[in-house]
Amino acid sequence: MEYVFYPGCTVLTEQYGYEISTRKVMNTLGIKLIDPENISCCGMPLRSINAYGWIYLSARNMAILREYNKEIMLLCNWCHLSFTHVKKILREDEELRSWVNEVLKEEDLEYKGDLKFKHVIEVLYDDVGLDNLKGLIKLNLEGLTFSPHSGCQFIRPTELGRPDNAIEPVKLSKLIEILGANAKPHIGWLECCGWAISKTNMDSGLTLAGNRIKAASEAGVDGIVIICPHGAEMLDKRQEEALKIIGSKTPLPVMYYTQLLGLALGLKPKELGLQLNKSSISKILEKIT
Amino acid sequence: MGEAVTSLTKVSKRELLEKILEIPGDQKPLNCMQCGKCTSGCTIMVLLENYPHRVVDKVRLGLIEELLRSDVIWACTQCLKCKEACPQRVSPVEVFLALRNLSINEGASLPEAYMKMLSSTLETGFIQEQVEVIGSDGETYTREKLGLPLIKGPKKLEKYQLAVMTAFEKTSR
Repeated sequence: MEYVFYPGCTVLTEQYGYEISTRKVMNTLGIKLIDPENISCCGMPLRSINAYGWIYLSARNMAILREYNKEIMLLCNWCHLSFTHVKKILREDEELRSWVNEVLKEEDLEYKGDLKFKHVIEVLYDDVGLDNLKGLIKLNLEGLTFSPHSGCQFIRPTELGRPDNAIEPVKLSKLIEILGANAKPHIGWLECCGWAISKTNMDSGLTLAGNRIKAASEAGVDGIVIICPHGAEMLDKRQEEALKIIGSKTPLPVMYYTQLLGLALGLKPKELGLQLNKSSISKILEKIT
Repeated sequence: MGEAVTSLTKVSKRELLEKILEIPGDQKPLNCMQCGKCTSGCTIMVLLENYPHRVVDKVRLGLIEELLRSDVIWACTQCLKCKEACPQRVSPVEVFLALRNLSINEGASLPEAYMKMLSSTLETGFIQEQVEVIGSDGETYTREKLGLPLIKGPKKLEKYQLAVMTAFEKTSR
């Protein structure tokens, strides 16, 4: 199996742990990743400024990635929703599609429209498959319980077709469970990490992040497992501020699913970039080793 | 007679509503029947007393001008619960995003974080420049130190910038 790898801005420029753990895990699974050239932001974070700018950026990346004639693997929930939505808009709106192609000509690109792409969680769940993954596990994570955090754009909006169910998503939970650990849905498990509003109102963003962490702590889990770099920015990187703003003193480990999977596959914490996580990861590592 | 808080007689109402409807997306404010399901599940409502169904109501009535000057349109975290909850296929979150677009088109300044993301995207291709991360071991990590490949951003930067600027300058169909 091989995929063209599109990690997205936040991973490429800051959330290195997600990228390095994905690369190591894919290598272990015998999956080849191709690094595309000429890529940029998917445009989704800039949709607030101008919808045409958003559409252009997604279209240009889809046009570039389409040239590889292979399936694309994404890491970010926002990129995934952005490609999904823009693909639909450009399929249904001929006027916009011809405008996009007019502008793309300036970059010697053409939008053709039939790009196939998957989130890394879909690659693992749907393409690799639970049984295949289970057979490769070297370290059983029995005794650990995690709060699965699929993230908003992975499950909503149903209308656009999302990788998992909006009411009770299962993919991340099942992927956690095949490692021997428990996945525990709990009150507040589908709440927002607060990333988007943190751009204009940091205190509100931090409050949402703090509440999400607190909800998991109160459910008695050992940590939160995330699959989106924005979740990492709020729940891991800013955890100290987030807990402070809601008056909680209970830190909680937060790690990417690819990091957790990597540990179960027998990879070392540093190979998975776990030293880059800001939350109290050592509590998990102590329980494993 | 006291002056009404919201003028119901402004002539430009329809014009602004048309602009909201024209912006690409699934906003569909005219489908709204004011059931309030969006507000009942809104992530931000509890924090900032923002009521998405009221914003959608104002938009469908064309009372948009006051919204364009209000912080309310930035008080949304794009969790998409409102769109998920709507029985009428309205997308309040996209009404908010369209209002942000329109306010900027009408001359409002960009919030600082968005200004930064836009200029970085123009300059480098990505919403922020590469940062150094300090690890729990006290070491400073870069992509290079972690053995991650160089980022292959826009190849013909000037052409890319011109195209992206053209796209972001478009304000109507």
